[in-house]
Amino acid sequence: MSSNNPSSPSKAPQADNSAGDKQQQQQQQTQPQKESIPQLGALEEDDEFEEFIAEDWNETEEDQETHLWEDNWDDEDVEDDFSKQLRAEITKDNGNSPMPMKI
Amino acid sequence: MKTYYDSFQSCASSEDGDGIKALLSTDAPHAKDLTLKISQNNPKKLEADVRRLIGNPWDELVLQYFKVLLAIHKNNYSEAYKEHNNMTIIFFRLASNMSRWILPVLYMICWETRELADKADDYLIDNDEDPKCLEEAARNINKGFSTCITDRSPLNTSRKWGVYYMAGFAFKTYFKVRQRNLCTNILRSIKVQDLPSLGQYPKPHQVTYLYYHGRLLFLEAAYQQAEEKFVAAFRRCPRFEKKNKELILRYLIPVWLIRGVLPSRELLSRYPATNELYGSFIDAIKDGNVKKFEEALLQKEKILVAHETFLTVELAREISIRSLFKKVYILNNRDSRIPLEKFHKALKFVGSNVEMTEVIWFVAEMIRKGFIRGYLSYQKMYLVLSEINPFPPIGVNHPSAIIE
Repeated sequence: MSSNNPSSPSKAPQADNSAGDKQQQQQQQTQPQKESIPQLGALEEDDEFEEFIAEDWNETEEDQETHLWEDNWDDEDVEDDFSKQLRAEITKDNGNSPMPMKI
Repeated sequence: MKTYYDSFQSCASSEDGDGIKALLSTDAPHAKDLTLKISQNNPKKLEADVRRLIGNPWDELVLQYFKVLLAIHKNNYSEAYKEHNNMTIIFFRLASNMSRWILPVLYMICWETRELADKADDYLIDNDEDPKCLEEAARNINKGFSTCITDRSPLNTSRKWGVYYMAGFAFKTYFKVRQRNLCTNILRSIKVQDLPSLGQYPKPHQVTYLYYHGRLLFLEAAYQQAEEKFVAAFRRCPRFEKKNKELILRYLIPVWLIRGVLPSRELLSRYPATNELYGSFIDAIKDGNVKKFEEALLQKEKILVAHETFLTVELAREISIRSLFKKVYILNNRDSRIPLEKFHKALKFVGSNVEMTEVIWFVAEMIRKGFIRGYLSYQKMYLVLSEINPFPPIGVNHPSAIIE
């Protein structure tokens, strides 16, 4: 596997000309961008399937299990901090708009 | 040389596909030795020997193969490719009279023509010329596909068993030369021909074909069908083929996200590149944190655009909006009348500073798409929810992954 991603979820922010890029992405995406992206592996530039070495295989090596997707992510749990803060915001009676919280 | 001729004769007469494949490969262990011997032989004698000891119908092909070897020996890949191109043409003529046993040879020749085309193109690029060898090779590979699908022999010995391998290989090549539009002819041929079901073919053929078919459907925004192909490909692909697994997920996840299906934690922990790419989007959808979703879009924009998945992932933003609105409903004591101002506040809370008109539009869209069951009271600026199931579950129907 070629990717050697950093373990921390936050990345160094990209050189941010993303406002300009927004225009670009509106167009037909026929040309994948050629710029290489630091810290990510070669994987993202290459979309070609690798040739399989084995000529065939049996089912035990496959992913026949059903837990590919989460069965019930859309739960109704509102005990987390985010939800508590959200509750506070929407039940405020005053007409003032609250300052957006830094999440 | 005698060993070569003898082996060839014996393999040819016993219809030994793997044997012939080795004897016509430019990459085989014997190739270097053979090349040396060929270069030391008088060409006229060589030709006479081949015609005498190998004879019809293979002699033409073998002589052409020798030409390829010599070109490679001189390190002249442009010439090697050209000669191999000719070899391929001769081969197809022969192959149309041969049955299923010839398939390993067909695969190898197509594979090598592509490799040589790549090398020839590298040379052209280095010399500031247009690389057009691979494009030409793609046309040949297409012929390879045709020779499989047009075989009318009884199924058992038919070259039809090479159809899905060749289709997958052709797709791969067309993608590489950016001529994906030429894939539709292959899809069409497969549709109209009488073929064994995909599931009867070797698994590697199935998986490659399903991946590329899924890619083509994805490009047309036929997301439901694309999802079926990707799920089937993913399931049939062995776990240790990490790169291919991650490739399938790269396109499967966006298709899932837009209809509210989230990959399991288990899946994300097993495929770190996927987790890295889509993790923030998934979290944002779960939390209903629309701002976080938008930040992820900005941060991942370059790479998603490079993958041609950006527009699809962007569509999933409304799933995070739905999550947020549902939270508002729950936090508002599940009252079936919700002042729209609460949604406005919620969006502001996550840092999405939209006008009230946009809030109304979001809610209206949610209703239109069936994410919310209810109606808008514009006068009173309320959302009135249905008593039953105001936020129907999403992402719960899963098309069967059993394809053919």
